[in-house]
Amino acid sequence: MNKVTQLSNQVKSINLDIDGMTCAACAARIERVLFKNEKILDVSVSFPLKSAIIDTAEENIDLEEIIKSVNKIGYKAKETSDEVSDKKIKFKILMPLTSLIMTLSLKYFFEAGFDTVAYVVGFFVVLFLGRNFHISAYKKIKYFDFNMDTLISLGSLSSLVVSILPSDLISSAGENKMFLDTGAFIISFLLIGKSVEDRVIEESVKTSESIKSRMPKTLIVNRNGESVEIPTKDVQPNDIFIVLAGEIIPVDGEIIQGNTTVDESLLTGESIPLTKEVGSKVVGGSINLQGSLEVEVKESYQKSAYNIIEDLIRNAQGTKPEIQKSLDKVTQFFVPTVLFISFSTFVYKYFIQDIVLIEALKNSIAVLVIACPCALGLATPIVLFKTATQSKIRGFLFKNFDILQKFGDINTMVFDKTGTLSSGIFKISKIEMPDQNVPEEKFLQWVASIENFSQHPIARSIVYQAEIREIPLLQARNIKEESGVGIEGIVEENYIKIEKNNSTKESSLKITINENIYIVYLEEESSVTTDFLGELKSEKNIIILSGDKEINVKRFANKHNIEEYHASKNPEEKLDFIKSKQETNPVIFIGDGINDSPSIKQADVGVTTSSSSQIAQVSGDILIHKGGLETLNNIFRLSKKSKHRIYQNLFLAFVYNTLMIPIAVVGLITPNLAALAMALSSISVVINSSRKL
Amino acid sequence: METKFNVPEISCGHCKETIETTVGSIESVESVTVDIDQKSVDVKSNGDLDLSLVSEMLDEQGYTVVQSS
Repeated sequence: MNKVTQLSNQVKSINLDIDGMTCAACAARIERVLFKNEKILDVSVSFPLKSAIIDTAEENIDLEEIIKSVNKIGYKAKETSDEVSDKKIKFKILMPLTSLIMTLSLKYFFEAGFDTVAYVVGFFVVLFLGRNFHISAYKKIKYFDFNMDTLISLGSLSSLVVSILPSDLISSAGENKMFLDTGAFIISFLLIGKSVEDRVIEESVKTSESIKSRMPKTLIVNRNGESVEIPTKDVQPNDIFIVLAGEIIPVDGEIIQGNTTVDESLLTGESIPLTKEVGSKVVGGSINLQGSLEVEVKESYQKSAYNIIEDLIRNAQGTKPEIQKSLDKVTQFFVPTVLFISFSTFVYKYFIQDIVLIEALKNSIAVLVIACPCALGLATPIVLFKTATQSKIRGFLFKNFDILQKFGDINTMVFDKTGTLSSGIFKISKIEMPDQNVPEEKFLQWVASIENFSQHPIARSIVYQAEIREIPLLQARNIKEESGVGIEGIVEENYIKIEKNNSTKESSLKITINENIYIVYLEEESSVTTDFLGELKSEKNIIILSGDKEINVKRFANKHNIEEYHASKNPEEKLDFIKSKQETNPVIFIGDGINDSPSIKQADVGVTTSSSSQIAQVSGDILIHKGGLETLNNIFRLSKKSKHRIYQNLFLAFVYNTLMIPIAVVGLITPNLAALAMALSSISVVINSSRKL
Repeated sequence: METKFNVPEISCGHCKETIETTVGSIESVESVTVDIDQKSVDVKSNGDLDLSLVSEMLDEQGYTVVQSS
């Protein structure tokens, strides 16, 4: 036991800074590689934060080995301690400021005649402080590939070169000296822009990491009668663990002793406590609010709801949306085009218009800098990241960003009925009594006492009706149930037989009590309001596709004013229906995710509604885990908003730059001003992305 | 001979570069082409390509090899 306690104290986190990641897939790749290390309990790599958090229980874990394994796959890792990261933040602010002050001072050095000092300072800013731009550009050029840094690097370096050319070659007054500060300004402004970007990104990412840090990394399980402490990710079916009141349940399982209420809000955002008793399933990540529980693990950690949700969010953040892919292609052409325009500007101005060399150079450098689509790379990632974390809070998860975008554009929505539009709970709408009858309350008491022995949805609904009317159930004996036909038994010396009634068109039961026959009509409760469906109908074409009887589906459709419905369809027929619809229009299918999986997979976007404990079994592109179908509204809203946000960003990043090119070509913008405009466009994109979605 | 397989984790130029260099380092391999959009890798080699070796090498880099049907 001692050893066990000792062990749990040792779970420690190591923070690494990782350089060289170019997309979220890089982060996922580093995670996969690190996860292979058996000493590592958990690892989380963040692309926007350029960092990794590694949890380990080993006291003397070889940090060098970890760093080596990251470096081996082409990234650069180093340890961050709190002290260092504090320094890092200061350095991040200090560096662009120093750069700017140095740049501003150049003018005075020249005026005072300290030309050498000015050159040393200028070269320091461009070559040393701006080294990351040059390194990145060089790496790309090797493969004949261009990025934003190509333009920045070229702009600043060519300014530097011009500034050291013998002055009589260019102009008589030694004007070319001032190009030194052009190069330094370009670097300074872009450094300031980058530093603001980093801050904003850090802020928007940090909040989403808080859930993970609260999940227990290890747990003590009873395995074959022995207590052992194991990493949470290593639990196996049949392991038994204890959760005390107030603790977070570490992994999914079934309660074998104790009862309680749990709060699943960490996982799903649903804050209403749920009652759990022996036999109930609990999900990892929920908080045990009352008694102590003994829980048996049923499935591996990989299949736990928490793990699946985390994976979904991470994958959604990691996928590159179509729009980004096309942007990348545009950038590939854009950068060489700009280089060409810049060069032509110079040639035209100098050789054809015959203006002084220095002015022609200024012009072409301004074009180079103003056209740099720096902000383009920032247009989608932050929005994507925020969308994925927001979706969870708003009650749904999506598998990738393109699916979410598609969802907003598709107009045909096909709904499953039972379990989706309706709750599967039946209400008694009418009872046909014989002449010699018993009071309704007594009748319900007897029937519910028998139905209590059946698992059929209608039987459960009748027991539920008795429960909400607070009618106590009675002892029943001689129970005989025949599946698909009915159930019979004796309550208070009355013989009661409950059968499916096939003589009416609606759902009904034929109940015989001591030879008197009662007919009970049933109606299924809706899980949505007519208002909600009405609102949806004003924008979308709604179709009900159900396996239920014609009469029930028709009644439901009429009640909610839905014109198109198809009843008595088995899963294969549903699939065929979706396929035929798709011939003309893309289709969204919304079902419970378990019985309808073929249709959900076939549809262009499959939406499932299910509780978080079932998440492992469902298929679907979008999973609603909170708030039922009304969450569809949230999905639409987020889909639209994130799309708009990306378009706004593209506008800010791209159109703006492109519009400025002609102005720079004409010579109305100095290179310094161009650099400032560049930095501002990046900052505005980042700030626009970080606004609330 | 030509061998084609998929690597579902491929997502950007970085991945392309890594996979091409890694697989390219195998002696019998003549050329490696990665298609980012298709997430596929096309390897031309003289003689049979030891796919389990490729799989092992890419696994070390954090990629998985899926045989294309």
